[in-house]
Amino acid sequence: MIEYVNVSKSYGEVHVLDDVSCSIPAGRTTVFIGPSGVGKSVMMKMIVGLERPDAGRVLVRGEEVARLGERALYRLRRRMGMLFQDGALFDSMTTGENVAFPIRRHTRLPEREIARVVAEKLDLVGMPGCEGKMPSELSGGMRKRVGLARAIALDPEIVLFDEPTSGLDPLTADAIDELIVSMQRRLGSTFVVISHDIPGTFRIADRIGVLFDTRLVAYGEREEIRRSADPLLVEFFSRTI
Amino acid sequence: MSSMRCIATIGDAARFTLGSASRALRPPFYVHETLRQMARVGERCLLPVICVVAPFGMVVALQGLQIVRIFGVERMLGSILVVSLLRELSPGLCGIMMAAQAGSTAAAEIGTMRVKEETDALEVMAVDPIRYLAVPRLIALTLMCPIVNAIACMSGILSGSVAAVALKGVDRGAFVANLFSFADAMDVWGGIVKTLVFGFIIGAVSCWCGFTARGGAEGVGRAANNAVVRSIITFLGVNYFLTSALFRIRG
Amino acid sequence: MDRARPHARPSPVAAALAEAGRWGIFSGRVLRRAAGGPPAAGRVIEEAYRIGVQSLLLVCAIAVFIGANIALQGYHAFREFGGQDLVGIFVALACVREMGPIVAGSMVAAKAGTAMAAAVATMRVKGQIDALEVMAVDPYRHLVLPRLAAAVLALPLLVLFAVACSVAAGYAVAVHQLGVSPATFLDNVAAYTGTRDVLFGMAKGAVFGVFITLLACYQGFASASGPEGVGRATNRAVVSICVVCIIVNYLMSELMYG
Repeated sequence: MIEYVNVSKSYGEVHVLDDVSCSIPAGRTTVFIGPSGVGKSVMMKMIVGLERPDAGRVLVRGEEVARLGERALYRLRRRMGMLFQDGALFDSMTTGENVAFPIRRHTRLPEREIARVVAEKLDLVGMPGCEGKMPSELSGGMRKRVGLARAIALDPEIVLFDEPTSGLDPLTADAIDELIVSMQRRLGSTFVVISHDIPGTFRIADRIGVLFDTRLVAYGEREEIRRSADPLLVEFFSRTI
Repeated sequence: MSSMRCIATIGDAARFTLGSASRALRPPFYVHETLRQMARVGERCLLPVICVVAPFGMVVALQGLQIVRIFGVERMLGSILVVSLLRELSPGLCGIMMAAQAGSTAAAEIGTMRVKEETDALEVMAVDPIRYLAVPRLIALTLMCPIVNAIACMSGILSGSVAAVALKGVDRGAFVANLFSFADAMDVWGGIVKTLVFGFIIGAVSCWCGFTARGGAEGVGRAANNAVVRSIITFLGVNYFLTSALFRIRG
Repeated sequence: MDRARPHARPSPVAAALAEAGRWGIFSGRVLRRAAGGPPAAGRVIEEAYRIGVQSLLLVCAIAVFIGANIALQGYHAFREFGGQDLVGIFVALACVREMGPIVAGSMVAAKAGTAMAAAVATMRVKGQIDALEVMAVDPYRHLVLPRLAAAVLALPLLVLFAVACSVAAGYAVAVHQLGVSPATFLDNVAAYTGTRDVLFGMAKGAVFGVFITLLACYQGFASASGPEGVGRATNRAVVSICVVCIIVNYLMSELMYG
């Protein structure tokens, strides 16, 4: 579904990604984990074309994202949804309008149908009936839920999660993890998550990639990674738990 | 905004201004910080102010020429240029640009510290945030405004002269000879008094806007915006009375 | 998001040129979208209403102070050669041709322009512009174009208000404070300014509107992260707008009246 081929990226003197290659399968949840500042966000932003690799290619459904023209890029993006770190909800709109925004922009559904879809998505993320609230009235966990409802509003094939549990208390973080797992089962879409939360990662991931010091040091099925005897991985997992 | 809240806001601003002014006159003085702020204000404001006053000098020459031709006193163009820049345009434009540049910066910086709870941290460390953050900026703006204005005014006179003589073909001898025939020392002192007052108003209003900033990134943007608008409207209002008073003194 | 900044500090001239170039690219993108069809009328009216309401009171208040001052200054300057009764000419020419458009432009810059920069910068800092892009919504079209159209519509009207307020204030000061006869003042105003001057002033306003929006939105788009970034974007927006508008004003005056 998504493929990284020898991808490198640096900002000035600072290298953030070095020769990363991997292939993300469709219909499963893949989590990239690593300490902050190792280019996890950049890796994810390359999928939607917000960042371009300095060298190498990022392919989505066989198309190289950085080479796409504006129209083709926007066509590709319509099939994706992304949950931003703090939700990135539009402050000037209500919760309901936020979720309705991509639907209004990209479809010609009548208002009543839009309202139905919005209610359904909000229900799906466990926030039924909160269409009228403003983002500033919501807690951090609730903003993430609404952000997720907006991300899945158009039933995307690929859903991206940028640090879905960062900045949340442990209980809320667990609830969001459960939400991601149940959502993936229901939608069957490809989920790509970046995170630095190790226990959460083992709960939600089918596949895990470990980024360390600008390189992808391990990538494989969850159980492979969990049982790996690689000293670097053992230390990484034991230290942070 | 309801009128009661408006009055309460003005009262709050006045109290803040008095508090900072009285701190400015009593030790401890943060001399080094004040000098640093003065250097920053000068460095950051000089170019924008010149960029505004110099083209305006050319506009005065261009439009003034049409007016003096109506009266048939083309030789007086130089004196009108100098008087209008010295008395009104240069201080006014200088004030507007200093509010836009230094005032909004002060409000944004203090506002950022406010929303990040850095001002609370200062208080916990027993440093008075008004004395440490507001007073140096207030002094710097008050003292730098006349200096920047003096340089800008010269640039305006120079560019106006170039426009009149080189572009519009006004006789150079008559233009230069009459440059200072209306202006006198009172105009220079008047400009200095005006810009001191403007600088003080900009400093006080902007720091106050910074200290009242609330609520994250939007709050900081709002504080910077309010600082510009409120300080401009205050000093232009005061300007009218200052101008009237200066003409009355002159007689 | 974080844009890569070169580590060595380039010379200020090179930096200014690079900034102007980036602004040019930004404006080109916006104008290319404008060629692709007008923005939604509803959004334009909403933004025009916001710009108008945000700035109207301020524009009128400042115009009153400026008009009053121009009358005072003109009276005292022309007294030197006995022309104090002709202060009406000075007020009319100065207010209608120069100060009206400049007051409207600079106050919209200070109020609506900074608000625009702060709003767009906040969206940038909070990742909302990235969110728009990911939802396949063109942020230039969605955020900038309606504001651009709104400013071009609203500014000429604000110029009218500024002209009216400043001439009225000049009249009040000349007649009531300085003792010029009302009939002389009005005759002078009517004799030396006409519809053409007012229309030129409104045209200046429309051009200022283009520059205000493009500069404010550019600074918002280019904002660095965090509250500091928003503050700096707001500051840069208002300064660059003032400088550019004054220079554009001179060029347009030269073109129209030179």
